[in-house]
Amino acid sequence: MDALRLSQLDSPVHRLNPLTKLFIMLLYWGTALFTFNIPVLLTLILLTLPLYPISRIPLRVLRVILSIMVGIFILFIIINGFMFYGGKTPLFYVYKWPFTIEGLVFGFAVCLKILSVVMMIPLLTMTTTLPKLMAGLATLKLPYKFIFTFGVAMRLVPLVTSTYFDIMASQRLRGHDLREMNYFKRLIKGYVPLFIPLVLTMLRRTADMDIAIESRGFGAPGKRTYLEEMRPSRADIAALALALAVFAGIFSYLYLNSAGQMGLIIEFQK
Amino acid sequence: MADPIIHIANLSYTYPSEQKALEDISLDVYPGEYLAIVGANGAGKTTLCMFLNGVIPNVMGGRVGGSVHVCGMDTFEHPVYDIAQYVGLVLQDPESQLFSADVRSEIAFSAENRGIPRADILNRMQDVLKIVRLEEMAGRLSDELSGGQKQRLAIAANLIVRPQILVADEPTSQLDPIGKEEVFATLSSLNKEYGMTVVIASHDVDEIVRYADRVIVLDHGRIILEGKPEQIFREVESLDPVYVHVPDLARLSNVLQINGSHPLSLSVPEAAEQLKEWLCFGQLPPPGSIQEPAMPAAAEKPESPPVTGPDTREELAVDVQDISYTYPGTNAPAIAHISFAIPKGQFVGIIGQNGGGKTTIMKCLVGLIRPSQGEIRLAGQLLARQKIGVIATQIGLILQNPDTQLFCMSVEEEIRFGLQNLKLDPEEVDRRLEEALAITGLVEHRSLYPFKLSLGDRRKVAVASIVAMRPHVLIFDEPLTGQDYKGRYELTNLAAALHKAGHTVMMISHDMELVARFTERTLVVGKGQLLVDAPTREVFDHLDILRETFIDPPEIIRLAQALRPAGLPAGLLSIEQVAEELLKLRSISPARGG
Repeated sequence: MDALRLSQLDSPVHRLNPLTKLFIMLLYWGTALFTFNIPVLLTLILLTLPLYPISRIPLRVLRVILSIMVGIFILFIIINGFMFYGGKTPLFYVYKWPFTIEGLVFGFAVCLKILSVVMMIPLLTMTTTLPKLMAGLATLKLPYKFIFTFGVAMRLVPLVTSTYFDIMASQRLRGHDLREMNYFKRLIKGYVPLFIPLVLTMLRRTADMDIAIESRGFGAPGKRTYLEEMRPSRADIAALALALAVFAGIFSYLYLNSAGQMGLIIEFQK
Repeated sequence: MADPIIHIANLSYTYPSEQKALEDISLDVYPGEYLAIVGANGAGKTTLCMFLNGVIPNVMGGRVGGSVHVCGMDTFEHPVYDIAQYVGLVLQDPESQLFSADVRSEIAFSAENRGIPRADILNRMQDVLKIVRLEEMAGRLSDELSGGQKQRLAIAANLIVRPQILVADEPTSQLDPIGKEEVFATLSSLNKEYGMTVVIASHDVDEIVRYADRVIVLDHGRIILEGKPEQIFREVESLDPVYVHVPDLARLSNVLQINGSHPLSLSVPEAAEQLKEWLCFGQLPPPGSIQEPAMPAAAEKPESPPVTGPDTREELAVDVQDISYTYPGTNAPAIAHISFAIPKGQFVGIIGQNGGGKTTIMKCLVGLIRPSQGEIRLAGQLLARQKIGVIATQIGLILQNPDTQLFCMSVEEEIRFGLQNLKLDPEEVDRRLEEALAITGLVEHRSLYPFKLSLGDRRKVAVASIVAMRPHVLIFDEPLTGQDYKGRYELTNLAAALHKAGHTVMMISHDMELVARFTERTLVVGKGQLLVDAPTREVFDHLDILRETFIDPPEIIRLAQALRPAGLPAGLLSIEQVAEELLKLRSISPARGG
């Protein structure tokens, strides 16, 4: 819901063509997945950060991402510290097992990789309205039925959530409260009274929706038009040019600094 | 007369589930007409609407006989997307007929499917937004709209392809009074100003009398009456057996037996003037010969509302002291500084616009949310920190939509569920089960699958499953939404029976007629505040406050108010009371007596 609401705002990033954003995101993801080079990954993250205020995405979104990720990051660093195959320089021991500097650095690099990939997602989803994204996908010649299904699924998310909360309330009124159950009881008895009404209600609603969709001429023959304009603007060209320049810079840096040996990590292994 | 735009000949239909829905329907609708379809739930209204744009039989299948021609097209032969250019269809549930993320794309969808060029869509969108008065909402998400706005958006989404006919299937049954008014006004302007043919299925007879040109009454899939609303709604003897609501004034006219050549008008101001003459001279003047008088002035409202005295805390079923609540993620409080006390055994109505705070108060009362300030006592005991299972044995809330709780294979199991959660012994569970089945009249349905039952009976299952837990206080949240005349009375009668059996009952409702008829006290809630708390017979005199929350008193009460200068006493709530007082007045009238 938050994403839908934020996507209605206006900013230079909002005004870009969804395909421009999609292309830049893929380029960014490709780079982040390709390299383990910590300076490069840090640069990617630093480049993304200012885009948040520019896109009018509140910082709490970042906070949420970090709070979800922090547990995973700690786990990754611990596992890699002890298990990394290239680990040579012990930092400390737990019993006889060494925790290595190489493992620590490798784990850290993996965390940066994940973080940079995840950080990029809101910059597309929270700045692009669903109709624009759908129209963008349509210009890529994806079948409209597929795109439309995706759109309706997104619309169903808030509907399912609100129905679920209504159901939870009405079962609590009959003394069925998940919060008062332990894990196993929840698994065995807890969810049935919630999920059955949810499925039945949603089936009924989607049957209604089917009638509404048919009644609005879905599936009419002939070429479909789109309300959203998909022609690239000057801003799109500028953004693409800038992105290409930045990533060309990053790749040439990687090439000149033994990118083939994957940057810092390999330095440790020498 | 022009050729009919809709021509239905000997239409019969049976659903794929073998349920017979329509039988030998023949009907012509003419261009620019406003046709209303009335009838009990299950009479065939929705099925008939679905035929008009070909959803039946094209999408749903089933066995069909006869023919349907719309704008010259045989709807059995053409696909729905072809017919959709000429016929728009608005459904009952505002949520499930909107499937786009925002207002603009919802409206554009139909035009995009037809391949209308973008520039044209944009032009048309401006016009359409203006017609449904949603210009300021154009940039919003569908989820941010109120119920009435959502229904207007659904209308707009149909208008973009400029259909000649708009079919609306109970478009207002889930809306509050303001939403209902918005939708009826929009449909009326489409009909009167733009000449669009409108077909509406509805239970709102007062609005049908006001707007429709013609009414058909359906019963068990057949048309049993057809004609002008003024004439049809006077057929009280024919309408009562098929559970069609009769407007208050038509019923009054019937009770007073003044149906002669100049029957009682179905419009309140006209009827009031007619009745004044009737009181003096013993006969009714023709309607419309009199200028519309103004409604009674606000100055006539009674003194400050009397306090329904809390005697001692133990005798109070519910005692709410200064509660406030703000939903997480919002800034404005949903309710602020609400205080009221309800003695044991009272029947209380709670009225007000949606979003005004009614449901929030109820959720606080049953412990679903905890007020950020203030305290609640049930029978003298503080509510805070009690477990939800314990609260459920003191106060029960029956939510609006029964389908959010039904999950068992039989009515019996559904009722047992709550009792088992209370960990009662099996004998006690059985005893309470029988008791709950008996009071809700569900004994013969006990082993049926709940979803096989009608909406009214599913609501009764929800009531039974709460009543079985034996709470002293029962709260009904909008029990009448989507209900026909019969269902409304059955449910309010059930509420009244529970009240008689000793329960304290609170009923949230938009149905002013039933609130007036059954409750002894009414709370008006709006903008998060308790606006009025008074005996029901006085509440409807607070016209200024009621208008603020877009509540119109029922017709009979408005008539009684308008007749007060002629000597009718204050505080009359039902047709019977008004008729009795009118007859009394007439018998002592100087013109007749002398």
